[in-house]
Amino acid sequence: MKEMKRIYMFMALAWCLALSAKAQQVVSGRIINNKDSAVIAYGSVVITSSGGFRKVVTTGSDGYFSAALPDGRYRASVSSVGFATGVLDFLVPMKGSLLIGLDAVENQLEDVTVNTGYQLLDRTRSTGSFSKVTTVQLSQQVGRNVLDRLEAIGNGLNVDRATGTEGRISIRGLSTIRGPKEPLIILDDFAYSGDLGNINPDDVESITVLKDASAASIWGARAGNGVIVITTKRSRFNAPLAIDFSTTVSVLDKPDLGYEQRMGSADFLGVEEFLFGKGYYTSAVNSFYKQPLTPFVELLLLQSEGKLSVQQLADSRATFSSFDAYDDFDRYVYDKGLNQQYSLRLSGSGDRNSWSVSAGFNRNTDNLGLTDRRSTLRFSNTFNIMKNLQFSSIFTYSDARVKRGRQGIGEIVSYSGLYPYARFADGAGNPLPITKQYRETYLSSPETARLLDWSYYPLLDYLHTDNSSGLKDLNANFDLSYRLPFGLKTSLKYSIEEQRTSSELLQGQQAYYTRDYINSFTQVPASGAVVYPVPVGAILDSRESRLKSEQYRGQLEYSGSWKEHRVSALVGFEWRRAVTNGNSSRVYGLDTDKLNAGLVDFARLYPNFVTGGSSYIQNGTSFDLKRNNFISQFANLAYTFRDAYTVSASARTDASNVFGISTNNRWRPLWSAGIAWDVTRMPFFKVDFVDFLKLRATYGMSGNVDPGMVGVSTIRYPGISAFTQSPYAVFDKYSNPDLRWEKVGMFNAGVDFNLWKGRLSGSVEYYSKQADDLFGMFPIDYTTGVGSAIIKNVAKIKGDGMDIQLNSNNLSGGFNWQTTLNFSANKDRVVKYYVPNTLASSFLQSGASVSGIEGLPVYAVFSYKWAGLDPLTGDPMGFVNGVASRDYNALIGPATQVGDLRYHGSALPKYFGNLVNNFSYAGLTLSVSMGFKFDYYFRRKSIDYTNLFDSWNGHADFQQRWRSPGDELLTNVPSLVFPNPSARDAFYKYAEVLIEKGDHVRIQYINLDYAFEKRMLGRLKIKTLNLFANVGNLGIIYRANKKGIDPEYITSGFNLPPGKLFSFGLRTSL
Amino acid sequence: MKRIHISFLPLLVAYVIMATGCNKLLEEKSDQKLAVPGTITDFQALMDNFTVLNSSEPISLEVSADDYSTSDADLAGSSEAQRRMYSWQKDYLFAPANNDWSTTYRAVYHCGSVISGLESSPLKRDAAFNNVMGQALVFRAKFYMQAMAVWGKSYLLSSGQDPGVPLRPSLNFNEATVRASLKEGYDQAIEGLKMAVPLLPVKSIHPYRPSRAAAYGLLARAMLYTGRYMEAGLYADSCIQLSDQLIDFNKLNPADRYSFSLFNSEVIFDTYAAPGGPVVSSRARINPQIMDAYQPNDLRKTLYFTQTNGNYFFKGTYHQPLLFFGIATDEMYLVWAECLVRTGQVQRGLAVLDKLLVSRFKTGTYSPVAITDAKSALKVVLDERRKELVMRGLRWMDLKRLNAEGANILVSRSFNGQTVSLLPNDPRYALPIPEDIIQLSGIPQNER
Repeated sequence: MKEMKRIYMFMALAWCLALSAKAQQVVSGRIINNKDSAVIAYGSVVITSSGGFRKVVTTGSDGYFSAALPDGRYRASVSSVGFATGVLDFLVPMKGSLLIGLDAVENQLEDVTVNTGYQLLDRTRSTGSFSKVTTVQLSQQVGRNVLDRLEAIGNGLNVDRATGTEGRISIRGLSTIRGPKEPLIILDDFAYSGDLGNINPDDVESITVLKDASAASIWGARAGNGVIVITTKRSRFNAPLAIDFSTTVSVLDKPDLGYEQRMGSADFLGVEEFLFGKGYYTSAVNSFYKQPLTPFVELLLLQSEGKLSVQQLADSRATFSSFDAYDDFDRYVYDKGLNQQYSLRLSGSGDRNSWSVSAGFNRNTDNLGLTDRRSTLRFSNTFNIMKNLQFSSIFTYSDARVKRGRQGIGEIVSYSGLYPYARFADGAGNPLPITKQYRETYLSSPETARLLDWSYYPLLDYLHTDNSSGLKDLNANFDLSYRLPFGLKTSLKYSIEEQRTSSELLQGQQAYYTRDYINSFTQVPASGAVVYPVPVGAILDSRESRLKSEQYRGQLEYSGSWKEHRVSALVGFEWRRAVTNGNSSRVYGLDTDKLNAGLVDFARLYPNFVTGGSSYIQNGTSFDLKRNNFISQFANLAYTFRDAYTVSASARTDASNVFGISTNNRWRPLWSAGIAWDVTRMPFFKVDFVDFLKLRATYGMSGNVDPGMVGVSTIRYPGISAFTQSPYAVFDKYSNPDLRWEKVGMFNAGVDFNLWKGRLSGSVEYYSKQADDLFGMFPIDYTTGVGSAIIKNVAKIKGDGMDIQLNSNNLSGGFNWQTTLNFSANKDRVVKYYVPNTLASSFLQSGASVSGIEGLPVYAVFSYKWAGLDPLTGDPMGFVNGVASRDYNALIGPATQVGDLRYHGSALPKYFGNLVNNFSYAGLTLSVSMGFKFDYYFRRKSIDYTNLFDSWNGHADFQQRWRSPGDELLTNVPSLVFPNPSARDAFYKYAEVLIEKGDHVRIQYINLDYAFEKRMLGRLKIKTLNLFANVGNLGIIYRANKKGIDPEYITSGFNLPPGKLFSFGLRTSL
Repeated sequence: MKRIHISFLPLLVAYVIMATGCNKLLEEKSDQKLAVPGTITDFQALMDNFTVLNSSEPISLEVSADDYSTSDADLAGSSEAQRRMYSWQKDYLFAPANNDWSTTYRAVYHCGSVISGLESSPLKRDAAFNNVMGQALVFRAKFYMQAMAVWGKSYLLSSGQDPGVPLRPSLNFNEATVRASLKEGYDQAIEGLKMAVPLLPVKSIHPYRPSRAAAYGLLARAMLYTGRYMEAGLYADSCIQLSDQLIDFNKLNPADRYSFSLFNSEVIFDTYAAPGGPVVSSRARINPQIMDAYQPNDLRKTLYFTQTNGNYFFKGTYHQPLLFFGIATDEMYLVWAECLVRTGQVQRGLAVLDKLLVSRFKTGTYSPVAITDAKSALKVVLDERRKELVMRGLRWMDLKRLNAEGANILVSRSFNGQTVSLLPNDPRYALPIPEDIIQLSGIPQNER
């Protein structure tokens, strides 16, 4: 209450002073850094006079301060974290304004402010959890996408490659099971949903990761997974013209194709012979669809018909076993990649405005010859229009174009897969065709003689295909801010973006797809001309889409201080509207020379040339229109007493235009509160070596809404039925009125410190999360007709962990050695999961999947208990009712419950982080970053006979298979049998013998940088010049598994670790 | 003070923009292709979803039946559930979650939504409204009947008192599933079809959409399966009166990969199933009993089948390349003939049969059946039914109903060196409800 009275009194006093007192003058001034004339935000100015007058004011984010002072003689003592206190004496009345320069203190905490996207916070007084990465740290890595660099240097974040092939940044583990798990990305004040590849990494000033609830509550419901704020470079006032230039050239090594551990050709031929003997190919031979046989099976068939001698077969077999498709991939398809990157930036400023222009150009060529060009242009400008009125703008334009290259592994396929002895070229390198969709005997028969050539040349096909896409993005941000009296400031921000993307897939008449499509519709009458319902010529698919988004934000800020009090507050609202519309089309029979398109009848059924089945010609025309609208209101308040105690609070509520959702479910308030205590500011604190010590804690609530929370069932119109020629509809969402919001509460406590004048600094934080009413798929009786599972609020999870960041200057002087350690521990467990399903098979899936067993991690790794291989047959065995069994239907069926499984541990690492060491001597700096992940498990791949027989995908483990009694003592790989129950494969695939520990340590990058000495450069009028060399993707230096598997590249499909990346470059500023 | 006013202006303007635009912004559709069903176009669009409605016939009706057999190697290439179904095992005949039960009830929900959506809508009860309502009623009745054919015993064994299938009258997925009796199921289907008759146009714009003839056709089937032969015959006759076309098989080319074009003139209501496992056309070897029954001049033998290595494979589907399970004129002639014979009008019945068969034989070679006793006439009609309606999803139900009357048909299959048989009226004629459904819903399983 006393405080409140003081506030009122002060406000009243200020009011009177501002309006009446004639003997007073409003004195204004600005604080700048002596080194680069940059303004210093949130400095503290203590104005005193010999007469006992004392007044404390704070500078705003623009470095300005003002105070109404009676006539007299004053002294201003200016302090700001990271700077030595500056003193200036002055007289009132005076002309002009004050300019006070401060000197930076070495070895202070480097990053004084953090940007939340709404405001700049003084780090020493903030209550929340932030971690910041600076330009210097970012520039130790190369690459097109700036966020990819965070993994090697960031704190508290893990790139999760276990639950999906694409790495996903995860900040402090999970806070939802089903909802979006990506952090929210903020680019210069506004949420960014575009492609991060559009941002030139050289334009980035810093990246701040907001990790706790105080971060989330200001950014609303979308921030439950943490927020990443990207701040771009801006020019400062009163700085001379500066020119920066940098360039990098990188060479990307070929990936190691042998990593896949595919089955060799000789083994595969053996399997084909085995299956042929069992009659496996009979139905393919008799197939009406002319289903192809591999070359060796064709020969086996000929031999069985007596048309080929045993010797001829043996000879061919020997030849086939010497072929390896992966050798051909390595020789003809994969090549070294090359990346080039250039960036130029000019900046300058005067008294009233500052500007910068930057341009970047990237050209990347990957291992398959895909080229990716990107140009970016950026122009930023700030005007001080009047004393209190500032206008700033940023315009960015980016233009990117991607053109696909050769077809790689997984794209060159034969029929159901690729047989290992497929050969793409003969000994002289001349391209060869491989078996594709139809039997060779059929394609060479008179029946198909009048059709277009139907053979498939893997090495030539890409030459006839032009697959490219382009993106043009224009973005403008405007910010008008006006300083009102009494420490108030109002600002209005407006952002407009227009993005056009287009993609074209031109499959020339020679492309296999085109020939195949034309042939399958062709009608060949017994006499007369061949009829082509799909005209001969190229097929062109194109798609264009346009995104237009507008965002407004109005904000009213207050920042003021008097005596020992400091208050900063903020209220505002935000409004966003994003509209995407697109259209796709397909053209047949395109003459690429004369640009004439063919005519087709989409409404008529044509018989397929091979199967006789009737089908329509695919009509590729479609249109779509999507809108993503968003409104929110927010407020934020922080109060600091004696620069030592801070309390903060924030609240926000937002709503979006999810279709079919009831209005009262739209808005939900989120809030947070926090405290901080700077111990070093206390009078009693007298510990020599402690320069800074702050304790802080926050708690807050966030939430998540699911688009499935609809009050009514909704339908979607996918297109027109070619049969009834009318639009048809499907159910999109089923009315699910019982759903509630997800609720996530998060507590964070931390300590920030700086010891021995910066020798050791950093932070230690503990957090815990409690997420309740989480959405999950709940299996239901599908007699209800709405599918086999629906969304319900089914789960409650708890997570806790620690983030530790330590920066140490181990050696300084001539030889410098600095170390940064980011170490995180994260543990989550399911507290409640209301899913009745305990069927073991639902907990075993190929990727990491949500298990939902109370007391265990959300992503848990389970396996079938292993009873060894049957000594007589080599069949894998598990346990049914505690007895070794080969009854696979019982083993993988309802007889096995989750309690019968073996639990290994989490599928996500419990401990992870990185360690960066910088060694420097004279101008030479060597940086090495290592990443580590510990305490988690993954399931490795092995032989899957069903997959081998049907899709020709074998695994090298086949070599170790059980062959004769006694082998069961040496191997766990099941024998080859036919018929092969798929349940037998399913049991082995999920058996405990295939579980490995994921622990590993890898080198993320090594960077060597040489900075030329200033005196050498002085004569050349160059301020700085750095040359650097960098190696990335260096691979693993320790792994717990003995199989040579990189646990980050284990998901199914072709998921190869990338090749090493060697880069060289220079950076200079004039 | 004036300055303060001016400086607050942008904020004020922005607030006004927000306040006015706020609700409009939140009401905008997130995707233009979305809708809450309300217009007649919406409901018709739901009924034109052929994937859910036309292509979801239960293939288990054909996998289980004795129209075919397959080789050991081809059986080994089928899925576990298909192998168990083929060998008439007691349990685990359906893979969990995605099976004939799920597609059936997805369609039942689909139709139910349209029916209740129309009933509660303020739309004008005009021809378009009636048409859509009729379509939904016909589809739902058809799915009830097919479900009872798969999971129910013959109606005739207990006058419908045996357990049937759930009817799911409510759209609320929180409401528990209960099994209705066969009688309740057929009553519901028949009531829906009778309601649909006056609502539907005589002919629809496409055989994917049910017409009045389709409703009559399904009514004929329902009456036949429930032993009401007089009514079954009348409904078949009503159907034929609306659509009596028969294809002259002499005009077709046996060399064609598929002898019959899609949506040919005999098709009244086109629904179909995708063959899988042992019933795939290159795996399913047609039962030699059927092949031996064709007379030399019967064109069906060459138009329906191809011969490879002494085995016959089916190519006579009316929905190439998939299996036609819908209503076609030929089936209606056979139902009418059977019912006339069963109700004592033997000569009239045989005349109807002649009308069908003359189009199936080489021109000038067909000689009318000359029999007078009812029992032999019925056998002739049923034999012709077997020869005409191969792989149409009808045999399994015929086995049930004929055995219920005492036909005493024993079916058996040999594979991997063993032979399994299914005795007449064996409980396994009602396939087991998917085990996961039993676990999730608690409804009683069929007698095993």
